[in-house]
Amino acid sequence: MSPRRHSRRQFIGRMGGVLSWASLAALMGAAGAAGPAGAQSPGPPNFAPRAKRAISLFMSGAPPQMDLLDYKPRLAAYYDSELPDSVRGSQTLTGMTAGQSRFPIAPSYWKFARYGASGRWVSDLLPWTSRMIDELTLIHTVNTDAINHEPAILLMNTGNMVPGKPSLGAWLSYGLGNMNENLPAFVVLNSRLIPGADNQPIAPRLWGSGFLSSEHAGVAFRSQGDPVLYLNDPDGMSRETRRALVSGINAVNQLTYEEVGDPETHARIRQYEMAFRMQTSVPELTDTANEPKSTWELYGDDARVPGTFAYNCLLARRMAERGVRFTQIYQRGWDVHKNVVGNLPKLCAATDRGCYALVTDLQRRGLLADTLVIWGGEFGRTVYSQGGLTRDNYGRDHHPRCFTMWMAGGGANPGIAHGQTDDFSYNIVEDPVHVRDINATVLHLLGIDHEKLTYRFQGLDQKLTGVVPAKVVTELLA
Amino acid sequence: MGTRARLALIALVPILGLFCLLVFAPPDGLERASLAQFFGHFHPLAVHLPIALLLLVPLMEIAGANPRRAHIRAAAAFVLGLGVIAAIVTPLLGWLLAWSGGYEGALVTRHMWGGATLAAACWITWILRGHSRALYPVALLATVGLMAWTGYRGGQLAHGEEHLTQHMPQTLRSLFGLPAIAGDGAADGDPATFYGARIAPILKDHCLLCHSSEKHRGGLRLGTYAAIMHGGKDGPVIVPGNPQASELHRRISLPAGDKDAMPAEGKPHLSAADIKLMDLWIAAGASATLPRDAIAGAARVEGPELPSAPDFRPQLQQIAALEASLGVQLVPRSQIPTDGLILRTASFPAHASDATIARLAPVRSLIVDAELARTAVTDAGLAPLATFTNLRKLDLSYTAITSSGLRALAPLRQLETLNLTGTATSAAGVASLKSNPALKHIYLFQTPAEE
Repeated sequence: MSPRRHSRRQFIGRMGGVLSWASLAALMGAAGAAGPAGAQSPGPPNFAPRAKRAISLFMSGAPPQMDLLDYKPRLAAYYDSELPDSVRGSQTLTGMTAGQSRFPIAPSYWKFARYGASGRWVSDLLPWTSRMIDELTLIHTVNTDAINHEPAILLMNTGNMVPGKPSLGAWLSYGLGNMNENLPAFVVLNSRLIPGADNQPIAPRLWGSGFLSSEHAGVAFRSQGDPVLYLNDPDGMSRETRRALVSGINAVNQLTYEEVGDPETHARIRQYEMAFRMQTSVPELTDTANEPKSTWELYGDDARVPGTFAYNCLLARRMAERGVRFTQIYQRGWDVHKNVVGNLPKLCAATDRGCYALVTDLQRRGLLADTLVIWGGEFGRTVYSQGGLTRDNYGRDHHPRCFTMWMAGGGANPGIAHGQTDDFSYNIVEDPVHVRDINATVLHLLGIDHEKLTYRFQGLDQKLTGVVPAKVVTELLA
Repeated sequence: MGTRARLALIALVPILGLFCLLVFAPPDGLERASLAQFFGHFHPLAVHLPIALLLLVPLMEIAGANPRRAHIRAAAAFVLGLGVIAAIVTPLLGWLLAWSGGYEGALVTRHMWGGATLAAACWITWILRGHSRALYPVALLATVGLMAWTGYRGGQLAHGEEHLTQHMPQTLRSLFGLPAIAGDGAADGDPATFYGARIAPILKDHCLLCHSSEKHRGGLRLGTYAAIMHGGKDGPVIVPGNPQASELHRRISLPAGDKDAMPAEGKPHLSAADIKLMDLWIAAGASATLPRDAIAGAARVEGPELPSAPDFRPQLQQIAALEASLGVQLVPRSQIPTDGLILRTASFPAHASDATIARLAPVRSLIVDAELARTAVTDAGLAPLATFTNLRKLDLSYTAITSSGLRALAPLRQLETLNLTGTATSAAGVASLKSNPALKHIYLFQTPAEE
């Protein structure tokens, strides 16, 4: 590493990497000494992982926990009565309901029943989820710092409300690397929109790589048409010509690297190589023609339509089989400020079966034991109605103090429900789990000590869980 | 007889009284009248007075050695006098605390005799000042040294025996010849048991300061299993099988403000997770021998695990060469070099064949997880695979292997998980795996054996 090749800032910035490479080299000797052709990585997991890979089912917009999985039977008696000040406390409300003269309690429209050997209460809206309830680790007491979508979804995905930090998937790609060199370590699947639902925008910064090398960013597949653009060879261009073209571009990029010394140029070379390999691997990945009949029986006919949530769940299973480290499926539309009774059934119908099918399919194929599935949104929703309240029409505003997530497989403790909220699903009574605790726990299941997976940037050993102390929630581990 | 001599004689009375108390009324571990306890509890507050005053004396003597600051030296006599008074009152309060507060044991005895001797040493030093220029500095030095020793013992009583060293950096520890800090330092009990691994450490962290063989408030000792089950002066604190009826459960679950809540006196309370563990343990019968992971619902801990495979580091070059020539990956499972390697073929599964497995023979004992899904491996490859004796996980899904080939896997004594999804495995093939003692999970989706 000569000073001419690197600016002072890069040289110092890279020292962290160099040091961790030094320790890795000590561990791995020649096998670990990666040149510019290999992506930078801090090496093997800190300890033997429970999960080799993870799949996030991200319900963007925030599902209402008390209509789905956080059963609150006593609410019925409080229909249309005012949410007590003692419950609401000092909670700041969003601009959408802060001006309301009343905060009338809206009990859930749906019936709940107990399912499984664990006897968990599940809403009638989730008939498929209720069938696998014994496989799930319910967490009723997730809480977040943000009350609006963008900061909350950033916090959930990147551990920070401010844009620019690496996402969970990028950290996993950086920390654990690829299992299949022909596919990205981190793939994002955006599901089709659900007609009539309130769709909040999402953006690539949610799966960005931040200050990590850009090859760790999630590769987003399109929900319609070709999953990845320009993977097909244009008319008149053979694969050999394509290969020569990519090699030529790489040679020019290598010259640029030798002149400027920016490691990002190497990341670019690796991305070109990955794209070239994806010309073969992605068509194979997305070709579901050979799926057996049992697949369609499990996932339903929705899964035959590219871009649906069910189709993406099937793709996630196929990626798990092929060694993609982290797959994140986004389903937008959960922002039910109004007409919960009208919209929530559509959202549940679009996602419930896919979730069940994915977990069940992973289970029967022997993949669930080392695949962690995570379901949840960016925050919860209020027990009081936004706007007017009738028996069959109410809305729910954003609520950061408690919401429900679940995990399945990958070393999560099946059949348990962790934490308790109050009778209004407004405050946490027992065992709060902050977003950063969720992230620490997810990393733990993948063999990573969240305090040790760091990257020096702006004078700080940055980590996914940030500077506020986070803890692994040991009760969630099997 | 001058005023000073009279004062000296008067001061001698409580000092001798102090020694009498230690000889004739030593603390016996019983709790007594609350008035004595009331005064006794001022001891931890009062100890700071003699410490500060006696430390000041040598500083004043040295600073006052310069004639320009002779007034400082003159005042040293007054400070020393105050120190004598403080050094007499403080151990008297200390004796009240020890005698009435349920203390006994070697540490308490040493601390008390140190305190009494310190009072006497102060008195002697005070007499010597002005009478012997030669002996006074020696006596002063000895007094300060004795004070440090006694204060340290007191600190051990109040804050634990290792209160000064427990967070000492490892380099300093070795400099002082202290043993390295143990992993989780269970107080008592076999770490393979639930009690030893989960319960004893909680008690050690939160309870032993006041409930050990050194200091046993309420007659309760929680340092050993036998002592825990024996209980305190009001009877057992644990009713096996019934946490709700157990006094221990009641005390640790009370809100911090309650007068009965434990740990008392503002010490940190048990976390909800710790309380749950205690309850689970009591509900399961409060056994000393129940294995570590036997209680369902108790959060798992990462215990010291046995090595899965030999250290791979001596074979690094061989591993790298095999990766390059075979087109497979041999990935360390973790940074612990005895956690073994994963044989990974996901990038080019079709390249991995029976010959690949045969050629991996030099590293066969290192591989604990073989990912062979979709590879070209056939029954012929299973015989060499059966020599991978440390194999825990084997994925053969969507390969051409058949039931008859599976018989070859019998030597894999460690094998826990076998994935046969999408193979031609029949019920007979599954039956032939019965002799693999560790096999817990067999996946048979899309096989003839699937029912």
